[in-house]
Amino acid sequence: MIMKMAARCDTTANREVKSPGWQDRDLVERFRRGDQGAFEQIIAEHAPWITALAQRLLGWSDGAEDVTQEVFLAAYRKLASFRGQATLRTWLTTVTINQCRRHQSKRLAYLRLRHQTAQHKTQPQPDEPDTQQRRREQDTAVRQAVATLPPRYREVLVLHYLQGLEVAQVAQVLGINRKTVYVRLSRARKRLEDKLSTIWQDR
Amino acid sequence: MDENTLRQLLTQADEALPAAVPPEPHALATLVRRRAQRSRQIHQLVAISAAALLIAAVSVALSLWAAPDTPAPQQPPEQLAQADPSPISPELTPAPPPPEQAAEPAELAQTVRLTRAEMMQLRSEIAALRAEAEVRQQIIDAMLLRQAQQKRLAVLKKKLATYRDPITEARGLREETAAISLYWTDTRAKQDELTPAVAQEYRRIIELFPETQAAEQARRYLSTPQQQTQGEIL
Repeated sequence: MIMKMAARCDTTANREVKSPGWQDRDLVERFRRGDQGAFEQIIAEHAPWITALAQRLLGWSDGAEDVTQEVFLAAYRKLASFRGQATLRTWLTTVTINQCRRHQSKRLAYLRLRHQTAQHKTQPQPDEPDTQQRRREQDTAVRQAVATLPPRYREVLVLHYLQGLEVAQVAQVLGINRKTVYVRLSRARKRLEDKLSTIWQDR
Repeated sequence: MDENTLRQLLTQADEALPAAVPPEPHALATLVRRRAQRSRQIHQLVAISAAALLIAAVSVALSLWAAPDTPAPQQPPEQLAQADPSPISPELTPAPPPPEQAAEPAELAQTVRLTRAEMMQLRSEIAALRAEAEVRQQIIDAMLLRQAQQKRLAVLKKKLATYRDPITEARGLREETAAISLYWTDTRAKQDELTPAVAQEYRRIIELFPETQAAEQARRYLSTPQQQTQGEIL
């Protein structure tokens, strides 16, 4: 079943991950030379991606801005030693995932997440039509189901389905092999099925 | 579950919420630079503080280790003798305790059992104390020698201050010798009148002691020998 899933998820599993472009190398080289504008250009190019990824990995809770700041702070410290074996976006994605893990490991953030998801679930909207209210509840349930997944499953789901990375890129970002990505995707889907069984039946 | 359905559900749930607004690049870059600089300063401060604390701890430990009045653990006399068979100088040997405070050796041997490591430690401590005592003895000897030299130097300086100028002393002696010679010549002149031999003696005084009062007097007598008297000569 895993191999079947693999074939469905990624038909280009053997495709090579793109090598870093000359723009990345140019930006990093300018940063090494002390060009202040290079770092701002890196932020301008990658901040939307980083912020969206952080928001999804954190379960659509607060903290995406903090994580973005931490990511670029880590990048500022380590960018001079960037070897260019991957693209800058891949490298920043890995940093973002690590920062999100660190952020979520804090007990306070976890409690805040639970409180906010409970708030999303219980917000009454009496004036809405039934279809809109039902869809909103469904979206909330999906987000809550993804947010309560274990991090290793949530990461592959977000990277593959929401960020649009292919399995090979997910494997490179997470530092695991492709089969492991397929296994995690399969288990994540299974867990989501269990959590959202009522929604599947309605659809 | 269809994969497309899952993708659609996730995308729909994601888009239902407003997307997080990315920060403004310039502001974020400034903030990141400031945080990196502050973090670097904190790291440097922590490193300097840690080094200072380490130095302080090491110095305190060294001072405690080198303290001369560190109480040594009690040992029975026979074990001390086994621990260090070499003789200990009398200065380093502590005074024996009073008879009423001294414990019985057999009793101490029963109550205190030293391990081999403790014995080795005691030996090293005794050796260190002996070396320290030798160094202090050398310092005391050097200080005593220097003190004696300074005392002798002060005596010599005082003695030197009492001496007269040797040139002045020699001049005085010269004048005195010339006067004595003139006196004896005048005595002969009184007895024998101004004979050629007496005149030769006056010339000799002038030759031997020039620029003296006696030489001037001799010249005067040679020119007017009738006016000479003993009182004028002296």
